Amino acid sequence: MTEELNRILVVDDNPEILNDLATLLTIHQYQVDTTTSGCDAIRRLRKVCYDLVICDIEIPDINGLDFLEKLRQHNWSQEVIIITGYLEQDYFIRAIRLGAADFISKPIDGQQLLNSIEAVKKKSLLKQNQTIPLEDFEEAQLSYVIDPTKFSQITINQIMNPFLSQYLDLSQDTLNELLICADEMLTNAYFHGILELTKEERTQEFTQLKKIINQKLTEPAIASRRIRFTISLNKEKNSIRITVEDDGKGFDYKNWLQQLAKPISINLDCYGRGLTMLYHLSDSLVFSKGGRKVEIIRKLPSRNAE
Amino acid sequence: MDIDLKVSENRALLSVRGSLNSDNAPQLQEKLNEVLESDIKYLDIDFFECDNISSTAIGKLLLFYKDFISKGGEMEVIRCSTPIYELFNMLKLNQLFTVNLG
Repeated sequence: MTEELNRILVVDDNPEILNDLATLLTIHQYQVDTTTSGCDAIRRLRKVCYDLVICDIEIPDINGLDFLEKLRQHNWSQEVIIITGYLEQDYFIRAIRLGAADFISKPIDGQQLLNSIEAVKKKSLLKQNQTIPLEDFEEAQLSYVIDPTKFSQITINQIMNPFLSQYLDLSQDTLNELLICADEMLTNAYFHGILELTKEERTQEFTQLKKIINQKLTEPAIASRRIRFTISLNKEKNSIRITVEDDGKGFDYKNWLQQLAKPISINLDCYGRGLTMLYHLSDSLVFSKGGRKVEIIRKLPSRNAE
Repeated sequence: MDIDLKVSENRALLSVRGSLNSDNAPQLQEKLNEVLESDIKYLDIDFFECDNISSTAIGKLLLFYKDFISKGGEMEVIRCSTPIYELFNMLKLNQLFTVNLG
């Protein structure tokens, strides 16, 4: 959510309504995008940080409430105002449960819609006051030391999302790429660094793999190892740095870095794909401590670009 | 994350919603094993609502792909989100099977 609720996506299958709403909202200084398709709306939401979505309950490719449900399934937190031609109780209850911010009945009363947006704006400002803008800090950092016997209970989204959303408005695509990087780094540290799984062990069927992991974790030398995870935001460099260090034996990272610099070829093998993804999704990939420590830096898009 | 497998005769549609990461890659493997153990010949995969996919999950998909084509199966990503499309192109997986942008 930006400082001012400003960027709005309007979804309606009726081009006339879209045009009228876009005109009304633009006159009132809102930045408006429109689409007649729910699928296209989902595509746009991945790319752009909209503050608010105004959505008709009946769009051709998806029901407005199903659309709202999908937003919540993706953990996208945009406020949604539902436009509806009928206010049936079942729809109303479901929309409330899915967290709709308001309902506007058709035919749309422009002033009622503007009032509704104002109410959503006040609510979002209240939320913002509970967060800390990155501008106030040179650097913000979050660190975890992870016990490998508890690794399976950790969900990286739950660690990173609240931290990042406290300081930044990132597009869903950027956030997803960062989550993938962190997931790759932690998974490598756990499977290769801590557990020292072989290729054959990694490719076992899940139940068998779990048995192998549980067996390894009974060994005190393995169970006493730790993974150190740090994510930090740097205002001056406008970047995010993720660092993962494990207590394993490291690996021949120099050889891997040489391979990563070569053009990608089709790889059906199990090794190296995660490193390839890290290399291409980050602006800088650095190994140290004999391969036990890996650091990526991802430059952030400018606020306007996001 | 939510995986749905719909089968109709010898064709199946696998739809994935949310993040396909290292934690839930076994769920993908489970569904793909169902396909392998059946008489399904054509597998369509819908990644349009999949936000991201980890290398572990891609590894499961490729292990399945090798086994599936060896028994005469055909696989296609019928639609996917832009990040998944770009990732599959980057890893040249579009040279193994058709990957369509949603």
